[in-house]
Amino acid sequence: MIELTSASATAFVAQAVSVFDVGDGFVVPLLLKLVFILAMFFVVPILGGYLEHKVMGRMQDRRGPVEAGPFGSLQLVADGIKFIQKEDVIPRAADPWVFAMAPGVALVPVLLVLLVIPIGPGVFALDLELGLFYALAISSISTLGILMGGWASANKFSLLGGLRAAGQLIAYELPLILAAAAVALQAGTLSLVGIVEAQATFLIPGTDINLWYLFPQLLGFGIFFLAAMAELARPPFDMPIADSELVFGYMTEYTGIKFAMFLLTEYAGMIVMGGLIAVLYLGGWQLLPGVPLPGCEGAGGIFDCGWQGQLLGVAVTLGKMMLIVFLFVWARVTYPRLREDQLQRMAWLVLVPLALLNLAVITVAKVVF
Amino acid sequence: MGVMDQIELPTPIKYVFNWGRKYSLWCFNFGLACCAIEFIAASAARHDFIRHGVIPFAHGPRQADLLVVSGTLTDKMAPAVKRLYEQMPEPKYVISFGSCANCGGPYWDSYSVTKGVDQVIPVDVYVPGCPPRPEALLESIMRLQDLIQGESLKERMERRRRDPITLAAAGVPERESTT
Amino acid sequence: MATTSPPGVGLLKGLAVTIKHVFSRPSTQMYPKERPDLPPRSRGVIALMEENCTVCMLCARECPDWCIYIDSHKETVPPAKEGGRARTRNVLDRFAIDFALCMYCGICVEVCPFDALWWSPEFEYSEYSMGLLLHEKDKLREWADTVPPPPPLEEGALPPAEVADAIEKAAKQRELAAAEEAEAAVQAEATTGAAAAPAAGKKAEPEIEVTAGQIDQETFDKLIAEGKSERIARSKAKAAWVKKEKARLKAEMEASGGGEAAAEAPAPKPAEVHVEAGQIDQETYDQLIAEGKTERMARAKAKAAYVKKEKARLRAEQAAAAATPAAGTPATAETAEAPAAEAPASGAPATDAAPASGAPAAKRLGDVHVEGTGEIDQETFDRLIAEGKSERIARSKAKAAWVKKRKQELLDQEGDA
Ligand code: SF4
Ligand code: SF4
Ligand code: SF4
Repeated sequence: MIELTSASATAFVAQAVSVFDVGDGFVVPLLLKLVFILAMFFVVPILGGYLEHKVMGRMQDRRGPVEAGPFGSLQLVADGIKFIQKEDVIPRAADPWVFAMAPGVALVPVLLVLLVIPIGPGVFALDLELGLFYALAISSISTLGILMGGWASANKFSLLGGLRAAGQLIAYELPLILAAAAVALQAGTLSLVGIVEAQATFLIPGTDINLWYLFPQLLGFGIFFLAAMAELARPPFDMPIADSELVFGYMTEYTGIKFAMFLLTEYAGMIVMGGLIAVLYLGGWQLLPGVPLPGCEGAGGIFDCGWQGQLLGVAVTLGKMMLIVFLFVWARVTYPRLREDQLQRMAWLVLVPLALLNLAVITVAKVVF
Repeated sequence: MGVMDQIELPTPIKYVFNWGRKYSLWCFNFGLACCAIEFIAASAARHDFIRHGVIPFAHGPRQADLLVVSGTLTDKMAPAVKRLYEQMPEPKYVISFGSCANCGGPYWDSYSVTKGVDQVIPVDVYVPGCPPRPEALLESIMRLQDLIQGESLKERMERRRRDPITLAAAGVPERESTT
Repeated sequence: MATTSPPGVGLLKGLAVTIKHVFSRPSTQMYPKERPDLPPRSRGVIALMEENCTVCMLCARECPDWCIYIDSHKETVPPAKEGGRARTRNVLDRFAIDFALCMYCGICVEVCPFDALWWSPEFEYSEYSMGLLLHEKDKLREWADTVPPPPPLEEGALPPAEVADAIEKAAKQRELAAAEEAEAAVQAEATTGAAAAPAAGKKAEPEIEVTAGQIDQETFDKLIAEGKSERIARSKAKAAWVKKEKARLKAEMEASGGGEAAAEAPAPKPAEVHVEAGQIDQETYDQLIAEGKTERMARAKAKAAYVKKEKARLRAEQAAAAATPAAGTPATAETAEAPAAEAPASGAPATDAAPASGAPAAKRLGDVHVEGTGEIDQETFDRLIAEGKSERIARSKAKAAWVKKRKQELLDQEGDA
């Protein structure tokens, strides 16, 4: 059943009410949202980075950071403090303006995607009717920054890295979007909050068992996950920065704070993708399929919550994000890097057909049931 | 950088900044001979210098803070070391690991070996051994961290500008007599 | 295709391998807190026992890196005896090893004929400045404190044949001492006796008690408090304990008739003497060896000394004729005296002290033939180890001590009979 909501005609219109919309003023909610986005942008990637350090360490039979802060938890903070002190080197042959702008161009889209990702009941900055479309569209802009950086560095390794990144992103954008389209099709909405709600109220036809989209769309989940990993250029899909071939790819010439921005883009990208996967396939802030959050009423028992429910919801979403990060790290530690041609072949000959198949099956199922 | 090496920062900020540099030593290994194996051992599971914040993820010199020269530096290789060192952004630190890097080691008499890496770049910590144990590298890293925690970036940079090859001018203790 | 598993199984296996490690204990050694377990002779740093160095320059000449710097000057030593010839000897002024250059080949340690250079496993001496890696002799002497004792035997290993033998011998000796004590007690009752018996009882003690392995808690605590490593503190405390114990026993002995024993000691003993030219005077021999003479020279001189002494003794014996005081007791005291007398002279070779107190008895030592030089005297061995000597030194000295003791024992038995 596809129900068109009244506001669907107008794109980019806020739907649900955010917890940050306090009072009627303009400034207070804006500031609150800004704080929220920045916290999401700086704190959560640091959590993810710490998790990566530790998990990677344990998987490699090591301990990971120990000395910086309790249990090494401040390792990434130390990295950040270090990077702002580093000398800012701009190669003489580089195009200084493009070189300087590139990290920003790569970073801002990630910041913008965070706008629409809901991490709890009402805990989001903006609920766009075209949220999913917006997120996927905006996140592709990062590629532009990477390409700019690669070109402006006046370094052949950087350029190769940038080109590889562009090729990889074009190749994997397609399966990513096709997989997400299947989700949108099943949910009947492009709003991310709407998708969470649709999952909470989705029942297996003929029964009253509630399921996340992970189960009916297992194939789609797999495709989305792989494509997300490739989008982020995480190992084993890290050809753009392949350090044994390209020094550090498009980041080769970047130092100090600009390099830190690229790095932050990578980690924040991991968080964004984790958030998207949690929302699209793992039921958002729903604890378990069919289990309402304590203190919540509303659709599926996960909306209209008190503050306890909201906090719990945020915790659940963050937990799911970290789980995804864990999976990313797991794959990173386990598998060696693919070759460039293997990567392209996998995208065009495996993932795209499968994604199309997935989309077709979902469409048919949607019509039949 | 920028202004950070021009002005003396107030103590609390300096403390935090030094702390950050201390625990974020992205490490660039210039492995030239046998000693490099010990360096690799120090980075692997048993010794794991990531515990101390030495991150071996710096793929190129631009991201590195710490250059570990481990092995025999030949005259032919010396320009490469110098170049890579100069590609590193300030503030940067150097550990000379093993007798060869310190002063030529077993090859002190060779026509082709540079008698110590400190002939071309300034060195912060010298690790004795042929090769030194991986723990010796960890110890030298802790020594370097002590140095970083106590230093003033401004002084360091001033010293560097005065004399780009040696660090011994101030702060770092120097032996009274040499042989 | 070598593998028959369906596609994807390998990928899953890979994931299984990595996830397994998340739940197992990492193999990381937490270095600053957890010390590496280093073998005792691992090549960390070279230590110099300055007292042992004779400035022979062998190490400096053999060093492939030429990183040992030695300066010395000659000093004239006044003649030992009136009318003797003054000797010159090298005095060490400077001994430095440049660890920035050293290639840790160990040739210097191997080549040193006087055991002045030792490997220590310490490795934590990186420096901010390369000049500081040139360790002068006081620094090298400090490293000597960190030279560990030789490694213990493996669990369940048989003790070396000579050690096992020595333990057996020591047990027998103790039995013998006890028997003699009893005999002495009887004698003391029978005759006027004086204080001979308690003296003998007391003096048997040090042999039994002064075994290394115990530590002096006070010293240990102090060193730990000073921030020394446990290993160092333990070995020093052991040495301290042995020293203290010896001092205590000696004091006790002196208090309870040590002087008397010394007075009684020179009493000649009735025994058959074979005046053969082939025998040597052990005392003289030991002394000459200790002075650094070659063995050949020492042997020749000792032979001459033996013949001379023997003749003098026989003449004296003839003059004294019959009627000798109780012979058993002083002999026992003699046995006990030897190790105790050695105690204060810690650096000196073990053989030096013996002639001082046990001269007359030692005269006879050469007469007795003892076989099996492979056996060692456990007590001496333990003591030397506790003093921080190397196993090699301790073993050879302990062997010498065993032979001496054994001879003494045989002599005593002869005397008793
Ligand atoms: S110091 Fe020794 S181990 Fe190290 S590179 Fe030189 S020869 Fe090899
Ligand atoms: S270990 Fe080798 S290189 Fe070092 S001082 Fe001894 S002989 Fe010279
Ligand atoms: S070889 Fe031994 S005794 Fe000779 S100079 Fe060297 S350390 Fe001294």
